[in-house]
Amino acid sequence: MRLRSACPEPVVTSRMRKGKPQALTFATQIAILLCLLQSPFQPAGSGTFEMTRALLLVLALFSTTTVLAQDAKGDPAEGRLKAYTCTGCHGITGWKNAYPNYHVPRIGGQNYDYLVAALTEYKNGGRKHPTMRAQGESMSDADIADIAAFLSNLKSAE
Amino acid sequence: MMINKTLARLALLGTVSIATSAFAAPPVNLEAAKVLAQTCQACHGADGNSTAAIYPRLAGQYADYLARALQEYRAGERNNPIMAVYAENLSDQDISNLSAYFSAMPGQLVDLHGRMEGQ
Ligand code: HEC
Ligand code: HEC
Repeated sequence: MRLRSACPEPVVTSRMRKGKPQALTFATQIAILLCLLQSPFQPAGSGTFEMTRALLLVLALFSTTTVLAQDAKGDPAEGRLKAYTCTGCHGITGWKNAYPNYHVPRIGGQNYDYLVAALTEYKNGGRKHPTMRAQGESMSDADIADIAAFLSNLKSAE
Repeated sequence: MMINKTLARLALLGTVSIATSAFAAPPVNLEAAKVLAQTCQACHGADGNSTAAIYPRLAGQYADYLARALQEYRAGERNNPIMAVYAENLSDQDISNLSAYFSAMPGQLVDLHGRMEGQ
């Protein structure tokens, strides 16, 4: 793939090459866009190279704007209702995951965009935890946005 | 009699929990963590309170969960190209140091206990 020769690590890391195709994060898209802009492909002059480059640029731009367009946040009131099933694990102070044994993470007050990314990763398999994968798979993108809006609005009392 | 038994049980419990905690957690070096954490600062903030919404807040998160996440990035079980780069070269000791460090920072993370009713 041309990107590989043109872009420095870590924009295209070994894991990305090996792994299944995955949705690029916003940051990665920007990085790819920047490196496409900066580094000319191979010997210039040949029309096909220029064409490919222009095409890739348009594609990168397109996917970036798609992400920007989706920026509207979810509805926290809806999210509160949808988050009831989560309290069985995330609502019990000190509750632990078994095998391996570690605390279920605190998710209230976490950042919105990150919550959306994390839930989407459980949904599409980028993260492997079995019960959280099941939770993610049962959610639509709108559910994820609503729940993330509710959770990110919570803050510790002080 | 009763009191003696209870005391004996408590003493036993004490030994067991000291023994297990000695096994579970290698001694943590917060000074070393502070130096290493400078690598993380640009995205997660110096005190683990990331202000850019695409980066998770680490401050006040459970240390054992943070450690688990870092192990997963390192092993490639969590598939994230950015964190793969930063976790790749961390030793087990680095991971427990950094996890304890960020977990001890004051932050706004909470669990959902008592948070589901009205505002
Ligand atoms: C059966 C227990 C269980 C239930 C129910 C559950 N979770 Fe989780 N959740 C976990 C565990 C355990 C983890 C840590 C998984 C890992 O190691 O990746 C987790 C991780 C997460 C994370 C990632 C946190 C981070 O900092 O990256 C989010 C977000 C999350 N859960 C949201 C939810 C939501 C929203 C629901 C309800 C729709 C829910 N969970 C229901 C156990 C549960
Ligand atoms: C270039 C930006 C960047 C740097 C530098 C960085 N991180 Fe991250 N970190 C991220 C992103 C993005 C994620 C979310 C990845 C995902 O979606 O799973 C993340 C996730 C994490 C998580 C998982 C949090 C959770 O709630 O599950 C931990 C723990 C973490 N980083 C620790 C570190 C540590 C320790 C360092 C320094 C050694 C570091 N990071 C450096 C960008 C960065």
